[in-house]
Amino acid sequence: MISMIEFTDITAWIHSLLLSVLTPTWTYIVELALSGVTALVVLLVCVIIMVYMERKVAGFMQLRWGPNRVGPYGIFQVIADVIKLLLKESFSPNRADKVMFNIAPALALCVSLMALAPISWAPGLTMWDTNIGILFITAISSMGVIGILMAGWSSNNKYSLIGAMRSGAQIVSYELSAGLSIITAVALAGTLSTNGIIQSQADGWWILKGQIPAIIAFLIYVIASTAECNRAPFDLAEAESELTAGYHTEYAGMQFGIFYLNEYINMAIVSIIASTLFLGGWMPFHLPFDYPVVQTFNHIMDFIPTWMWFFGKMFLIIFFMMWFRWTFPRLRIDQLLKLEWKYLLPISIVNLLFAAVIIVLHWHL
Amino acid sequence: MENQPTPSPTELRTEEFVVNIGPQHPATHGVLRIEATLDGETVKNILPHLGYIHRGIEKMTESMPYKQSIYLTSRMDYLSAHINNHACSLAIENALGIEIPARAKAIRIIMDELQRLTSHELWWGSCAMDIGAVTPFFLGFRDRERILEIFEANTGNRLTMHYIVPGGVMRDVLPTFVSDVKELLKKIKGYRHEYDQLITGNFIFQHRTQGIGYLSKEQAISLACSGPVARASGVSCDVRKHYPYDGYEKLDFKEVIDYGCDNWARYLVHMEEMTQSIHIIEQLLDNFPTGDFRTKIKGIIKLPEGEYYQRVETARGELGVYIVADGSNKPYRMKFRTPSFSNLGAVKPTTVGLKIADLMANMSTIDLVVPDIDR
Amino acid sequence: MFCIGIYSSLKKTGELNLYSSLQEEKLNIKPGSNGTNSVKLGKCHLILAQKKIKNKQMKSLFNYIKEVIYAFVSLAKGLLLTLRYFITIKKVNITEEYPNNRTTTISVKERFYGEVVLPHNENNEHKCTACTLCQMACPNNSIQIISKQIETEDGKKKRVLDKWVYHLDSCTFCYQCIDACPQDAIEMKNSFELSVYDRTKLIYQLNRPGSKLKEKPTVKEQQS
Repeated sequence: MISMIEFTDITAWIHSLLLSVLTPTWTYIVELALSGVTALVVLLVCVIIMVYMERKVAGFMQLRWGPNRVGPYGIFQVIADVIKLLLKESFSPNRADKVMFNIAPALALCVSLMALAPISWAPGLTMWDTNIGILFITAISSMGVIGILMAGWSSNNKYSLIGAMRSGAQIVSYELSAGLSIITAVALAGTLSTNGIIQSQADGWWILKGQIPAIIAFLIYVIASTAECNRAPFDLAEAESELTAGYHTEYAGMQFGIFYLNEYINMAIVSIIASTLFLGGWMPFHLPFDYPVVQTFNHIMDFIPTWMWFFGKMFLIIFFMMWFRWTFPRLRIDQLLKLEWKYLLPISIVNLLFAAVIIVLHWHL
Repeated sequence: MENQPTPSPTELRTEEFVVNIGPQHPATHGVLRIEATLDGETVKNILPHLGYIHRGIEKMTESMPYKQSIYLTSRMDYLSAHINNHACSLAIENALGIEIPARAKAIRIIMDELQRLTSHELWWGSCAMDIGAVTPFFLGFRDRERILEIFEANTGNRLTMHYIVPGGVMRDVLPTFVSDVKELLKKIKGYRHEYDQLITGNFIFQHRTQGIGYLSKEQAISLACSGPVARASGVSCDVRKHYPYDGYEKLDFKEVIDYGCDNWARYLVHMEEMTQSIHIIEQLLDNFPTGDFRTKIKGIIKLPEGEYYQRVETARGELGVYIVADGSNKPYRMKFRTPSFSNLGAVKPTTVGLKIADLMANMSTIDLVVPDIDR
Repeated sequence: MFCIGIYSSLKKTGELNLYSSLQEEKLNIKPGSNGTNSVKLGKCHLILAQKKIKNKQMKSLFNYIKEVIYAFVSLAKGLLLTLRYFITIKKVNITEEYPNNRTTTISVKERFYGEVVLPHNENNEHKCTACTLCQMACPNNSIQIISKQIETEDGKKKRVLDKWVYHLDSCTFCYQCIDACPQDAIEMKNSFELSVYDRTKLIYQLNRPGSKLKEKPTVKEQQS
């Protein structure tokens, strides 16, 4: 533990360094910019890994190699794709609403990046350590549909319009069960702050401590968030075989690239939230028992650095979402809504009641 | 627009709109254009537009000698190339009154049934892909590839074989043919459970197909549907049973009929037909006849004056070849009654009133091959 | 395990009334020619079902749970299959790394119909007698036999092959020319990388310059 450099040390060092050069106001501004840029860079690196991972996962599941041309094992494929997208012309179709058409991708990206603010990356490393972090995220994540609706509406394309409308119905519905499963975790932890929730899992993750309700809530959250990200089997907004490409049919070049990026950023954020709520964020795997063996085990787990836990859990949930995508057929729109309103929502309400009983009686570990 | 009364503020004015699905669309598997009138998600009307890949095959045959024009039929339903060639060859043989050797008959039927397997495997993959699952497409191709390798080794081509010719087959099969096919069937049978695991048993897939795309028996008959589409509606229409050719009458196989009338029934008929095809091939392989593979016929075929009709069962349904001969070496008229053209009529009655996603599911279970529609 | 969790959570709360209407969907599965028919059918069944048995509600809840469990199991089966493929390291890949394996693992069968060739023996002799049967058999006019008259030593006029022109650009590889050839003079090579940038490069002359017809062994030679 001695040799390990905590992230808080680094941030404190940067803070003191900046204070020695600048006035406190400017320090604050520079720190804001720095933290934003850092988070963005980390996220972009994650997205690059995710895009590569998606292709490889798809390839391996479909008995193919996946990308293997650009660089060793095709690792530079994503970079080559980004260069291609950057060099392509972005144009808007005839009689499209030009302004809306052009700001839609940027708006969608902004909204999904806003959800990054209260995320706890490592012990003490949070951009905005507020006591209503989770509430903020739930509020922001349902705003993502605005960009999609704008894109679909302004494209002057019927496929886009249908895709956008589907997406609207979908996100509004699935927000409910996602919210209810978040509430289950929040009720177990007793706080809305992301740091607080992670701290409450120091002696074991909620998925273990929270008994059956936590497991069900986790499953429902993964399903609902897959739907919120417009990922298969809930990719009705894109629905390649029905609507060609759905809401981004008319987008080309980097405007399309931003929608693509947005999808992956959403996936990353959703998996970070799932891991924060149910799998303990950056918290190592601890067992909630008081035996010497377990103590030793917990101690060994502490040696794995927190960033490894954080990204490991994040990519695990991302892998689940990719796994779903490359296995399942797509649902129809009415089945999608039926799944939410007839299955997920009742189950999550009942599950919340059950969780409340467990919390009140202190049955959770 | 001006004639319409202005809606009151509380009333939301809605209207139907027309979407052109195709000619270039991921779901149409070719250049078929479907003009769909939509009310939101609900399909109100369907109007298929043909002719984007019309190559005038029927007209081309009029300017070609009989023997030469057969290769064109592989380009109609490219997934049943063998069976199309078979139909033409049979029509010419019947007109000339040629008896073909037993070995040629056996080879022809094995090739036909292997072709049906390839077609249904491709169909399985693309059907799942239309419904949204991508992985089955690759699994279907994996199994299809093994059969295509057999085709490549024996007939020389993979897709548009010109192998079945009047009098028999073009070349004798390889000496290893029987063992190759036996090994192949073993492999394919081993993979069949994966199909069930991934798609047939899948809850989402079952809900996407069960009760969707209802085509009643009456509709199927009046639209002249054939093949798996009609058989899934309870119509007994297997040409191999009703008008057997080249020794199908001696083989033991079931005509697969389902009374479900929906997409799920069509899916099950396709899957069961694959099992039946494997069963047919196995029977022939057990006592594979030796002898000649081809009856020698003259270089220039002249059909006696008259009209000839021959029907066969392709992977998609009944293919009819109608030849009007005027005594020369070229047909006066050659008409193909292609299965996809008739089955296309089933798209509208199955889809109207359902959702736009069901249109894709219906089109994929009806199993259209667009060049077969246009010819 | 998860399914048991759902079951127990539902059972414990005893929220039975919530699911009374769920039977409707079960009965809706019956196909109708369009949406309206099936809805009517479903409602009919629903009314009948409600009249018949009072504790149908219990059964509908049971069906609801059964459906959820069935859905989970069926989806898990598919997931297991894809996971198996994902973690299998030595898998049979269905794709070929084509340009890399063109000299190694690529499998082109012996009989694959590639371009037509006119084989010559070591004395630069071929077997083509310029009978033009292949030209007549070709449905696409991709064969053009140009012959010339020459005089043999004993003064007879004889037609020999001058140029065997092969238009690869219009060939469909149907094998009819080889089938028609009475001399077995031509065959099909299993080459498949035939594309070029200029269409005119696809017109070949198959007989080599200076080649001549392979003399058939006379009757005497055959006997000996």
